[in-house]
Amino acid sequence: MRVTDSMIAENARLGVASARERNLEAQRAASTGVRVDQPSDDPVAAGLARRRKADELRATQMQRAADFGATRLQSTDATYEAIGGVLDRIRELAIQGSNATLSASDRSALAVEVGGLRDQAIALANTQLDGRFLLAGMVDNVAPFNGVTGAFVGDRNVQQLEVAPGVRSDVSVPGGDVLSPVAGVDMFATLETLRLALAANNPVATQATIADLVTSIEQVSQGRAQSGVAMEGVEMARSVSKRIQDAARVDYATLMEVDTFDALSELNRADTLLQQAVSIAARLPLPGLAQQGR
Amino acid sequence: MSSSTVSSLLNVGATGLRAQSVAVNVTSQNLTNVQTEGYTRRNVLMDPLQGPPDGGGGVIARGSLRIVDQYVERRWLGAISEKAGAEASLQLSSRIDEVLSDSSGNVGQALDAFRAAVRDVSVNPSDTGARQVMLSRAESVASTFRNAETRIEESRDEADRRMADAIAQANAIASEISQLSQQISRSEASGNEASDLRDRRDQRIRELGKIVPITAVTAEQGRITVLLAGREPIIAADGAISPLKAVPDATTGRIRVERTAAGAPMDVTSWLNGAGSLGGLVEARDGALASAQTSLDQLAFDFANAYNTVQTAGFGLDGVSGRKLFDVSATATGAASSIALSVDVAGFPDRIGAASTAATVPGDNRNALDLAALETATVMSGGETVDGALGALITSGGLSVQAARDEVDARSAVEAQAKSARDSISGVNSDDEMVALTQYQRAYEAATKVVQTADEMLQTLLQLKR
Repeated sequence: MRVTDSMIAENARLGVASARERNLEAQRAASTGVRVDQPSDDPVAAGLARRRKADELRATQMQRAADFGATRLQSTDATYEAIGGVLDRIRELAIQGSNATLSASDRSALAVEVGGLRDQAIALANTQLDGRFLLAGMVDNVAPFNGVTGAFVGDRNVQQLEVAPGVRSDVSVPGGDVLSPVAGVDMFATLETLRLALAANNPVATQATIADLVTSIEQVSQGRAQSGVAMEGVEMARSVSKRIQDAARVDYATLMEVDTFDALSELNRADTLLQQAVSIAARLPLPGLAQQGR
Repeated sequence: MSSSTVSSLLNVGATGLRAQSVAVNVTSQNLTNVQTEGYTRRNVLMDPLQGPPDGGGGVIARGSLRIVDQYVERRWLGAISEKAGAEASLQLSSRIDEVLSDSSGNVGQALDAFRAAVRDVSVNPSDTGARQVMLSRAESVASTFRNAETRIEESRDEADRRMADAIAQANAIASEISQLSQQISRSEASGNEASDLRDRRDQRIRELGKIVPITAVTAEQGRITVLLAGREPIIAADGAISPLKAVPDATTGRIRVERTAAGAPMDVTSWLNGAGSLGGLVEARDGALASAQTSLDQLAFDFANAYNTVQTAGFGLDGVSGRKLFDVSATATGAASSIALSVDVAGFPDRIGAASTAATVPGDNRNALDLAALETATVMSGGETVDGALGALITSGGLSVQAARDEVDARSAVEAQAKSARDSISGVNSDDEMVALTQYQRAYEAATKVVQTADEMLQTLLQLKR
């Protein structure tokens, strides 16, 4: 092939341009750590990365939901534990009150204490978390138990949250399922019956409430057990979400980010190549035999 | 030997001096244009002169000859058109990269933020703040869809404007080529050399080739016929021009290219076939950009309807259902440009249908969970999830840009090869020219020697006569 001067010059120009482009890309990749800057850099990776990023963010959100659910369940458990403590004390008072040797004034004093404890239990059953009634079910803007009588007036729907992909876990144990007649014994009615029996100085009637008190305590224990089981489910789901998040993050990084060692190696190669190309361009031969005259 | 013979020898030497001067002149012209773009090297045309029977007549330089291979020139012209088309197409197609990249302000990130807000509502269905954020994020999603669509639409509009400009430029160049052809014809008819004019005309033809695919066919008397896409002339041999025209299409409003010949317009848009900047613009506008726009419309349409379906089934804090989350066009066409936060809920966060019954508000999050579940539901056309469909759009958009970039690389390589082939024949090699310059210099010295010898012979002859 007949080689002309413009071909030599064009060749040198293309060489420098190509080396500079490669150098620029290597610099960008090494300094940003990003392999796929635009979809066209690796269309398939960019498309997959969108899915992986969504997976990661979803898993992050689900862990937040799990945190929220765990907090709620822990509060629920603490509430039922406190109600259980109140019931234990009331059972002790009931046993004392059913003792035939006790005087009327003693029973009257016990009645007052039981009444106070009952009010405390009603207040506990209407505990609020972040302004919402904890044991209210879904209608959580209204107190689930009548503040005076303790009658259940709330909702029994269990709230759920998605705490792992496709996994909806219970995050509430409504009081209606634990303290109301639906659960077996109407706890607050039993406490009122006990209070009245003590106030009436009736040891037999007082004795008769103990069985229902024991059942109420069992119901509360059952409520705590439900909270525990739900919390366990939330924790398991949270660990699943965490693993999914980690895997998605690794996948995303693999798809979109550069290996630092590779990026720096490529930058070195690109630097060397550019220096060579520039050096060659700078040493372009003088036109033909004109060199002879130098 | 007579004095007349010696005189003849002097003439022979003189023709040599003249011819070698012309040769040195032509070679110098070649050398000084060694890097001139589009310059075609010349060879000197020398012929021996017929002399008397007992001697030579010398030499005559009949001018110079441009060294051109029409087939190689034609191949280069085609490659120039293909390269220009690929570059124009890439310039516009690459906008898809900007629209679809996973950067702030684009659809992907807006979707992420929106869905996080939906999940926050599912966790706190009675929280007005979470609801307000969700509405704000929903508006952001709609806004990014509209913005993405606008950017694609603007790119297509830009293609139209560029096409109109390119057509005007093509017509101006065609007119210049026609004038140059006439000048060449006149100049050569009167016996003058028109190499420089031919170079200028070839350069203009290549400029025209960058705009539209053309074939240049040499005609008689230095004239030329330029065919559009090898079919019909836009410059006839007699210099008549069939101008191109940018005409808005009656249906789409998009510019199409018409060629007017004998007063009759003809749609030649399909002739361009991706070649020349006009072809590349049409290809990007009606190909990659239109495809991305259609996919974006479908994505926005399916997305809005999927969320509307679930949202309308849910109950707001006021116990009312049947409200949409997004307003969107009735069909997929134009959905990305029309999607907006629905007037049903705009400014009313309590109207988000998080509950599945009116009786269970405000803590009922079941419908909000269903809204959140749309993230992984196959609710899009083709049985895809929202991210699957967006991922597919990103992949297809990226592939179209990548293909356009590969096309530029391939076409550039072909053009560089064709240019090399052309330069190999028509370009200047300074080694050759320096050798030729030395050669003609020596020949000039030899002719001088002939004159000197003839002079000495004449002197000798004159001395004999004394």
